Amino acid sequence: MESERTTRSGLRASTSGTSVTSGGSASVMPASSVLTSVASSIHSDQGSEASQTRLGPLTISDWKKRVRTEYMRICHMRKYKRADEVKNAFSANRQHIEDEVLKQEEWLKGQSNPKLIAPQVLPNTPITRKAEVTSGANFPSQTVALRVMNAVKPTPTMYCWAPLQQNFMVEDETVLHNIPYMGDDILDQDGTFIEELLRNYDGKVHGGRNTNFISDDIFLTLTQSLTELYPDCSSIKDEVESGEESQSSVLTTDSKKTDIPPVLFEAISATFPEKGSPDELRDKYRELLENQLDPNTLPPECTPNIDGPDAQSVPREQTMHSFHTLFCRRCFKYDCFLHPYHPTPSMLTRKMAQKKQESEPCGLECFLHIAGIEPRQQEEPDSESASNSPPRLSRKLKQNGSSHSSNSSDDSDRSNDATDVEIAFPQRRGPTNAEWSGAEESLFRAVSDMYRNNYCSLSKLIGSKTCRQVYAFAIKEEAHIPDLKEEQAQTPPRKKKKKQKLWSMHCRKIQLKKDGSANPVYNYQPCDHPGQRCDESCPCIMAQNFCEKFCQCSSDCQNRFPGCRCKAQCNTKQCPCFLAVRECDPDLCQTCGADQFDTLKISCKNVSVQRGQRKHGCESVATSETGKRGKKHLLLAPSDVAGWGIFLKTPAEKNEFISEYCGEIISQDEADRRGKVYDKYMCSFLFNLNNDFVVDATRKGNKIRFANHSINPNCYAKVMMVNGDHRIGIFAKRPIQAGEELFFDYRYGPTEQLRFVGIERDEAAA
Amino acid sequence: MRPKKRPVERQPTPEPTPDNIEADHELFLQAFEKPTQIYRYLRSRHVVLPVFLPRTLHYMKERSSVTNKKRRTFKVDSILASVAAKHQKDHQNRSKQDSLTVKFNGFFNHDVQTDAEHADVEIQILKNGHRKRKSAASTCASQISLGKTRIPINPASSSSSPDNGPMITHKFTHTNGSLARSAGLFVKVTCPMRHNLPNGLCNGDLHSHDEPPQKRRKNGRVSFHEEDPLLFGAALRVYDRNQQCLLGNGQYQVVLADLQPLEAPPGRAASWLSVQDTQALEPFEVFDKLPTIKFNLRWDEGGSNSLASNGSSSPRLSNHLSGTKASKLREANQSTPRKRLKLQYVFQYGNGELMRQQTEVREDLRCPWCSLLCPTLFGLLKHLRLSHPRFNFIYVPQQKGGQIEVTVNDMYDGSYIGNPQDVHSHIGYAFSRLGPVRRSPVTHVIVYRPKRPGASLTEFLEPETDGTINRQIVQGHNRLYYHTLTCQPMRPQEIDDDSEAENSPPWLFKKTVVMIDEFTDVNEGEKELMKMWNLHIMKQDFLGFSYIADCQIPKACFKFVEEHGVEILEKNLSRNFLIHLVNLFDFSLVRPEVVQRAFAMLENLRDSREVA
Repeated sequence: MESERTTRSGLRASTSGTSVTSGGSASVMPASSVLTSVASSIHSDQGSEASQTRLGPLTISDWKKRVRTEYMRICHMRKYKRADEVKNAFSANRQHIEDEVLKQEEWLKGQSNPKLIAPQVLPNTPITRKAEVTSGANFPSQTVALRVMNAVKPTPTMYCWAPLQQNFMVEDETVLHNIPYMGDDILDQDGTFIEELLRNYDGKVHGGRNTNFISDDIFLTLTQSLTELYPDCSSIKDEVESGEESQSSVLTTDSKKTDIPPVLFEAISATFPEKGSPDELRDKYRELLENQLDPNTLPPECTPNIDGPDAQSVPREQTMHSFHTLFCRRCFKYDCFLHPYHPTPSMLTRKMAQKKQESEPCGLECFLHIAGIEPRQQEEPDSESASNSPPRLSRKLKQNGSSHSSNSSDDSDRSNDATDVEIAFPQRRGPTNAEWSGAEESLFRAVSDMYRNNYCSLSKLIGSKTCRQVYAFAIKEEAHIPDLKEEQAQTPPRKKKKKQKLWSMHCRKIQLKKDGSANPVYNYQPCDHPGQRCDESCPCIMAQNFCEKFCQCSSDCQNRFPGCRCKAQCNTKQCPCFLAVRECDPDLCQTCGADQFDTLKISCKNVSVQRGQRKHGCESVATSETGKRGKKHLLLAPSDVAGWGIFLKTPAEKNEFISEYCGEIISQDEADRRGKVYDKYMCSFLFNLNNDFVVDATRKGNKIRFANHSINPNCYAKVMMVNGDHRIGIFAKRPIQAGEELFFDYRYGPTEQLRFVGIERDEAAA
Repeated sequence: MRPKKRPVERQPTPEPTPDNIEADHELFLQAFEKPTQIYRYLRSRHVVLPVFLPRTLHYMKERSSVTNKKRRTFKVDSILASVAAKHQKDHQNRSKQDSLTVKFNGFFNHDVQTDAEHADVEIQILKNGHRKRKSAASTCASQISLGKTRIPINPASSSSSPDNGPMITHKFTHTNGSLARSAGLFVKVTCPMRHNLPNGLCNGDLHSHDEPPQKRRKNGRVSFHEEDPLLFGAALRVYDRNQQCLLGNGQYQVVLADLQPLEAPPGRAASWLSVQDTQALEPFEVFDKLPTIKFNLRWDEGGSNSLASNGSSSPRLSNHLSGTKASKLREANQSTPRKRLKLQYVFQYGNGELMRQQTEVREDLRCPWCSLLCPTLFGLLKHLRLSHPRFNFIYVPQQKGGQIEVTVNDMYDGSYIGNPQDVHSHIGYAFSRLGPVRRSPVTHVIVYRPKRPGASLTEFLEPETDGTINRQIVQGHNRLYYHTLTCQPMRPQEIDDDSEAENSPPWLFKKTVVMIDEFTDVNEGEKELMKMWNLHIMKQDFLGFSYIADCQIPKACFKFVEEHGVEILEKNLSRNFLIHLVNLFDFSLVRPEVVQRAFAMLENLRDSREVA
């Protein structure tokens, strides 16, 4: 995209001034220990400075000193402010927790038995000792029985973690966030460990940032406070003003506030040479000041709100830019948690069924009343035949869909087509303004791509313009609309293959793949190589992944996984999805019921990970059904083996889905770094996902993270390709009874399973 | 230096140097000490407080002395018949009564200072019913007083003749032998005290009047308060458990022990009381120093006709009385000489490739851990496997006896399988004043009768299978659960709430809002709509699924208008919404019709709001 906007990675800016990342500057200041001593003597310095100023004109070095002390003061203030913020956030958090606890208690009170206190059991315990108090005076000695109470077993340690039901991708940590504490003795024994750890992060520790760093915010405050603190600089200003006439005139014209003596900038520039020359600093100061005066101004690269008063007429790309870049086509969310890379939509693979123009005029103001429309319609060969009657139109669409691909959305759309004619917009009231506003223009450009010549529909969507007005504007705009037909001509026309052929192709491919039995499994990334078929250079083929529906290649790409056509439960190797260790795709597999979202209609049992969570609201409706398909209810209790353990609430059959192993998705490098610490703790929640990524449930995870290792486990883990993502499913290895603790074998990782898939395929073929 | 010597597994400790032995022993202890200690402890606990009797176990049937064979044929109606038959037999036996005649010579006590010339003598019969079922309650002791008589105190030994002394007779019947098998005579002498003892005669004991009475009695002295008569007693066993008569005819001089009538409860009186100051006395001095009673004892056979007569007759011999079936059986059990068998226990331990073993040979079928005597080898092996699951046992048959290989069971599951309510008292109560209260559900297996294969040693030749190890008799949630996030104990009424029922935790909703807010070059209208859409997508729909498929997106759009339409209009975001729909179209998730329909829904909503 050739717009001058920031890229995706640059879009996000820091919210707080403290977490700024840049600024690799050379250190001018001495070590931090010296800095603090300087800071403590600020006030005495200031006093001496003030006395000095009266004596005579100040040199630049004096100013430098002032700048430095002032800078230190500001830094300290910010530090305190930050600390206060943290404290406030902490207390707010605590308050929230307390409120939650209160709510819980309220709920319990309503539950008719709020008491947790054990019944009196003391009389049963034998009295084994007596305490006696004797006094030297004539008081009788007093005795009381001592009851020995049984020791209460403490619950195992639990470190803080955040609940999660889906994987969450996090970036690599480039700095060490904290130095792990694991008891004094360990660190004493193994002092090299911390050093090694630091070396992993190139010696960078969080918070150990270069104190010499100066942000825009600090710069602004520094300059302002310096002018206020040292009013004597105005005298200097006079001298300078006389000397540099041109500059001061600029300054005075701006505003009273920008009256900053240049000597100040010179001093700052001398103290922080990396910030640029005094002139640059002054310009920057002025710019910052303006921004501060008007906090509502947006950065120049931001498109104004289309619903707002300042909406401008911008090209389509600009209107759609934020939506295009932030939308994740895989999660259906904006700025999702899982996929840092979103391909922008390709205009070629869109659902092509643009709405055809109806022959009937939409109203009095319809553009069809304008003379000379007919020849325009003749240009499109399809529209003539399609425009005759709505029934034919829908049939046409149907053909289009089925020949198109195995897009399952046809199904749902078909039903929409049937009621197509009933889309009713409210009657428009009042006359429309002939003048086109910026918002309307932008909107037209965005929508027109979808409807082309269907000006009736366009005007309905735009709302504030009549069909005739839209038509007139479209004529005017025509030059700007890129000719899609030309682009289409460039790409080679797709050959329409029959399904059967595709299928045999696919089977052959699977046969081919089995050669490498220990293939490493790579993460899937949607491929995006416009105008080129998926060949050896396609990332999907290189990583030995299938193309998914998220790829930008055409829907009849040969590398696409075609889905299954099972009519059974898809839990044997007869099902190609099951064989390829994939879950059935609701958009590809339609005969097995993977596209059904009414639980009673699904026969497919190969959708458990994607369907994940248990049904919540209508548990009473079909408990048994959902209980089988959804995630199991897990309960936490101290383990019989070590630490905490996780227990099953309801019994599970063999091969039944228990839960997904969720956590943070980190790169292998990051996992290596984190793993060093976890190994030291003797407690690791790392789980290999594929060759590129690892799931780490240490900080974020779900309950299954508490499952312990066993060499004779009752569960097994399986990494599956679920709608383009690798996910770890935990399944029952044998029938499990209610209340049993869950184990799986950590050693036989799920990746091994995928890796040995080739062998399994061999067996299936034989 | 050591490991090289024993590369072969099966070689049991070659060249035992002292160092070797010690290290070997150390390893042996490491492996076996802990479980052994546990089982030793359990054994002693079982002795004190038995949970069950081993003979009730199917593989220990032989331990039981009673067969249940009759049970099969038992009918309730037969009770009367059997009792009647018994009664009949009883009646026949009545003629075979033995009568016991005791003739007293006198009460001799040289220490006692009394005016009275006569002391009261009471003879009681103590019958201890030893039932076959041994339990604390069933040892019923009954006391029957035979009669009282007065006997002279310290008569001149020459003057007293055996014939004209006071006497008591009693008939012993043995028909109810099963009930009262052993019997004893208890002689109780009550000697009235003389009033107002002179000081000199009291051996200076009386000055300690404030001493508690018990203490005085413990001295063995006989200075009591005036009201208390002196009470002496002695017990003699007549029949022992096997109904052998221990008390022959003859003259007896019995040392009487001091009785403490206040202290001794009637039940306790049956027990043999030891003589207090025996250690100071020589065996035969006892008779001189302590109070004694002399009497003649004679057995008369022949029942009623010989009751009055005191003619001579032979004493009852033991074999007259013995001879019930039960005792015979017991005798047979004890005395049958078992075939000498050698049972070799091979304890295997060590780690990995270096296995060591120690051998212990036993010649009986006692369990090495709880010393339970098993009747058969099958029983022993079954017992070992079932009662000592911390070990693996494998049986290897040999010519005489066999070999049992013992290894430590690494897969032992020591989890608690009892009722959680026994462990955690606050897991819920059945009764509450406020109404019914939910408790943790537990299933107890009360009766379990699986089809048992016949007793055969072959099952012990192989290690236990998974199925037998993993059986769990008590099912359910026999533990206290905790809340995942707070680590607070979970009450039974909270068990149905799954903290993971929701697809997205609350913090994730906040996170997505914060993340979108962080962008600087996205305008506020876009941000608002994106946040609204994200939260909509993250909330699962009414069927319980979140949006996972492309084909769900049209529905999601319509639902979005339904749920957030008003909000969109209020925040004036309708154009942003349209652009969002176009965006979905650009990503080929929806068709233009869907865009139009969804936007029409919004417009209609706006219209209806304006009208209203």
